[in-house]
Amino acid sequence: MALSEVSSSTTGQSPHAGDFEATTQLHLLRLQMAEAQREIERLRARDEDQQRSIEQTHQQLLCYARDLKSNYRSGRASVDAEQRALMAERCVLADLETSYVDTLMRLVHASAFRDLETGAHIQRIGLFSSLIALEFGMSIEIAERLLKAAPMHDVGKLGVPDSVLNKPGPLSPGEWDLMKRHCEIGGQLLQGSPSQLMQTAERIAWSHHERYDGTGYPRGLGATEIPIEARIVSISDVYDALRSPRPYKPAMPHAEACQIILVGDRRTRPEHFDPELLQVFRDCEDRFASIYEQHSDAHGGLLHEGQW
Amino acid sequence: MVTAPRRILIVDRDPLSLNLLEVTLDDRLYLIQTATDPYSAITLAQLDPPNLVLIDSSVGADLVQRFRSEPSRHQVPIILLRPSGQAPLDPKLVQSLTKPFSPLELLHLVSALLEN
Repeated sequence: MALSEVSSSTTGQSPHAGDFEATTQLHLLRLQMAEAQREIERLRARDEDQQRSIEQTHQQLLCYARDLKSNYRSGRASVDAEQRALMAERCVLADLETSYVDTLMRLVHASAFRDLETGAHIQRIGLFSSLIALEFGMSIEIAERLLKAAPMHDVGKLGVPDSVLNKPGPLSPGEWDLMKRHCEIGGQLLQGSPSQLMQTAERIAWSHHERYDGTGYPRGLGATEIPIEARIVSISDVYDALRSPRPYKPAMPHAEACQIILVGDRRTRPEHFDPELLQVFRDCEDRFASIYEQHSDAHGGLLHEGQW
Repeated sequence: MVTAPRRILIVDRDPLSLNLLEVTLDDRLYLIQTATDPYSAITLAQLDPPNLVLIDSSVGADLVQRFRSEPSRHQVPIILLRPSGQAPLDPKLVQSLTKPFSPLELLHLVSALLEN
């Protein structure tokens, strides 16, 4: 194309110059379109790659989900199985303990047949003692142990002759010595057991007639030399004896029994007891009254509704 | 008895996939190192010899050969993660798992190989 023709095409005068312009524009547009199409292709290909990648990641995620589910389920299953086994074991142990305590209590009652002690008294001593223990702040475990061990405190009476045990009048010094031996005999009957319950019962049998001020028997122990369980049973035993009828005295009402324990009379002095436990007794004495009423000799017996 | 932490080297081209493997294997008893290309992988292995190598096939299966060719790395256990279409390698050379892999299976395999 001549230069003159080119310059005149800018003014749009010559048709040939215009064609060149259009052709160039068209060519440029074609190039741009081709580039755009390639770009679209690239984007489409990238989109496909990303879709594939998302799909693969999703498949991998499903594997994690399946494994997690199966792991969780088998974990639950094994925990369930373990828990069921534990519960079964607990049931067996609970059964065993109930039979054991039941047998024990029947033996204790057998030992009490010969004298005036009633089934209800044996039960009450356990109830009073566990109440004191709980109010004193001891654990439920220990309170339960006292509930079962305290009733055994007088098993030693098996070794005391009938003539002494059931003598209506006062005892001679010799007879009194035989009577006091029931503590030692009880201790010997209950000695040497690996069971904590029996060891507690042994301590109670030996020392439930000891006194805090050392004037008790059989060994004249004082204050904390006396095992705590025995100090507790002491109070229970005296309260129950005061509330119950005896050949040498009538049954006493609750208020009078409390008075004698807390203030004293000719025979019983507050110094005989652990001062802290006396405070505990003072704080829950009304519960002693209701226990005595609910478990009175009238409707007590060998078994109170088969329950201990 | 305190055992030394086990070194695991994970090699994967894709950083997201690499992160997933790292999180899956993370354990206070493991020391995990990562690489996204074969050269860094070899370098790391030379500096701190790993007790186990986990390779994703995206990095190239010949990395396995390069690991085995070096006598000091001859014994190190290698796990290869490969797509299901790909042929498995010689099990004497490398243990492989197909993708998508079961994370439990991977964890079992890792602890089994580290136990020896």
